[in-house]
Amino acid sequence: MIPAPVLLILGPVILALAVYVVRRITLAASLLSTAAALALAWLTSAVPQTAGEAILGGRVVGGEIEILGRTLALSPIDRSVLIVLSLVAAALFLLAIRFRPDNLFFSGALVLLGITAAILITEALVLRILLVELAAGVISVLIQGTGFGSTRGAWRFFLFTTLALPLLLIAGWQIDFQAANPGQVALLNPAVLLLTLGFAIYLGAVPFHLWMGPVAKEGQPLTQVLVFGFFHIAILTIVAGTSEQFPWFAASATPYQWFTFAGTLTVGIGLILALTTTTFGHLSVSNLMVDIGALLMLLGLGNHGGLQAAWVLMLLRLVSLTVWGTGLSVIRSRIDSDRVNRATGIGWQARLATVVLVLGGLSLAGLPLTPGFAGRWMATTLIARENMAAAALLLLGSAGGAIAVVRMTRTLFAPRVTHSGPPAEQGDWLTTGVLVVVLIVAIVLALYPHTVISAAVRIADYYTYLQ
Amino acid sequence: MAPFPTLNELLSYLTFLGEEPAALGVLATAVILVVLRDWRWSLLALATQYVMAGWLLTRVLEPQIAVLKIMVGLIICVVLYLTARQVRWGDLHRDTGSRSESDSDRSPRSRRARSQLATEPVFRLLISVSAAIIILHVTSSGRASLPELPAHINLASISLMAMALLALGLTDEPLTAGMGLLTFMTGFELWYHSLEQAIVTIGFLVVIDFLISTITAYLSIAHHVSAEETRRRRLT
Repeated sequence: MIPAPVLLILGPVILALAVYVVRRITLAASLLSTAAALALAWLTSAVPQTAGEAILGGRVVGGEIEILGRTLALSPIDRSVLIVLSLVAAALFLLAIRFRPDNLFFSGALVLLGITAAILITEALVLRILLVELAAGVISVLIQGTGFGSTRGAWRFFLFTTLALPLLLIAGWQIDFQAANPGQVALLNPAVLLLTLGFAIYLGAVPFHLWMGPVAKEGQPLTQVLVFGFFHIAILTIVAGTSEQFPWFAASATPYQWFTFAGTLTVGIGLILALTTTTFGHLSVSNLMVDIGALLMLLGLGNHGGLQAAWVLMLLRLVSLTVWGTGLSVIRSRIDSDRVNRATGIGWQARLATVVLVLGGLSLAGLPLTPGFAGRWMATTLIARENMAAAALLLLGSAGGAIAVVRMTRTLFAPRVTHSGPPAEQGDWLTTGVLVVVLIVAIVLALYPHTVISAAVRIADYYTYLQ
Repeated sequence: MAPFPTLNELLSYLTFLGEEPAALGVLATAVILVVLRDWRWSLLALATQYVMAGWLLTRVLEPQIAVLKIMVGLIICVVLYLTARQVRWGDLHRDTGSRSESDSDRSPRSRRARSQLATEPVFRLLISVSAAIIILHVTSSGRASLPELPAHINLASISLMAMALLALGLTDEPLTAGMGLLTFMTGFELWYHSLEQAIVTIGFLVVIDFLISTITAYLSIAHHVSAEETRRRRLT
């Protein structure tokens, strides 16, 4: 009998080995990875909560287990988050049939899924932090892929994540030491500060955002979903989990003040970047910085509504990034560059891909009638109740991102064509099919975002520390 | 045949190295890592640093675990050595330095670039020596002391972390920056292991050291093979 938590962690990792063997046969690797991700989603939903209860003919048992003195347990929060991530991973694997990001993508993303499951299931903070470092290593390899050239994006991401590690480990030690010596309350103040700083570094708050530009420029578009989506969701789980686990952290004013300050700064810098951007990478980064800033501001609110909106923002970011990444994959494959002016007039040759790209960009900016709107609107209204100036800045950030996307659209549909070649989708039914499906899903989620919102709210409602 | 020395006997060979010389030696290796760009010297400095830091670790950890950390450090040096050989980094640097002066090299722009290259090591030397003096001053005066640490380990830990941050700020090149990051982790581990001796955490940190060296090796190859190919293309 295999304990369910062990299977959820090791299952994707073992399957990643099988996928690695067939990595050169894209169709096989993609379908195998999709099946693995769907199986993980099913298994996560089917695992019984109570100890001793079994599924799959008694082979897999539910409940928590203890390994090396650390408890592994699949809580309802972990269950919901893991199901969402597995389903998004399955969609990414299917998209990768056409937009082959890299040979390593399938197996790397499966390993990442296994490590993310471990981060979610593990209860000890220190162990979670160490697992985040492993995830950062895998993501760095995925950002670089098998390509040669600049390594700045992969290296900087890994460097910044690693520099957060000591802060959080020391905080973890202080927490453990204080738990063993309840009289040493003074230790908790530095622990709060270290935890806040470490989480801000993980989330890429200004001034720890220097990895984002190179990552967006050098990483494959679909890989960015893993970096800015999967990784940040894992971090949000740790932030909220830490607040839930340690009431003194949730009760301290320090994290809320610092998150609000860092969030405001990040939105401001994102706005400035949006007004000066000339590349696709910087365009997505400027919008993502505004989004990250909004996330930090919401966490800084210190109320349950803010936490709900933070989860909505994160889940919708997954959708926006996937749409943007799909469009960008086609455009980049045509121009072999990240500069927007190199794609002048490409909109007339790759209309569908350009429409998907523009929709993804507007969604990242949080404009109405796009999937990203609901999250950004929730964030703006909630922040406006506490701080009108911050809400105005957030609105300006969204407007700045939208202006950058409009400028990009004008370039893409300019009459002057700076490149030659047949239309991107001509005769390629698979590309057209994938783009149409992504477009339909994006439009449906833009008009009916309730499914995503209710899933996010359900996840947030499991946390009780702010209720 | 003489029996193979035991662990304690092996460690006793290092007793000639007092704590203070070991801490100062660690600082010296960190300065070397910042100043020199030749991978042979850098790797030698890193290996020496692992031995000295391991010796200092015997003051806060079980000797067996400290020796294990030294061995892990030396294996990491081997991984980086093989990577550096693979990308022929040293050769590339030497080629750049010794190539004959062509007409294009005599242009004012080229001369200016070479002048910058020539002053770069001097700049690194000045900045690292200044940093070392500041570190020695603040640690000896007690203005900078990490909690729960003996004085010499405090000096070693702070100097390793500070010099590593300096090294990381000066370059994005994965092999050099990777050695900087490993140095940072060594400094941190000197501090952290004086607080936390749980075997699971020690094991995880060993895994993370290996992870850093693996990522460094992977990215170095991706970075330098490209640089080498670009250079070859220019030559042909």
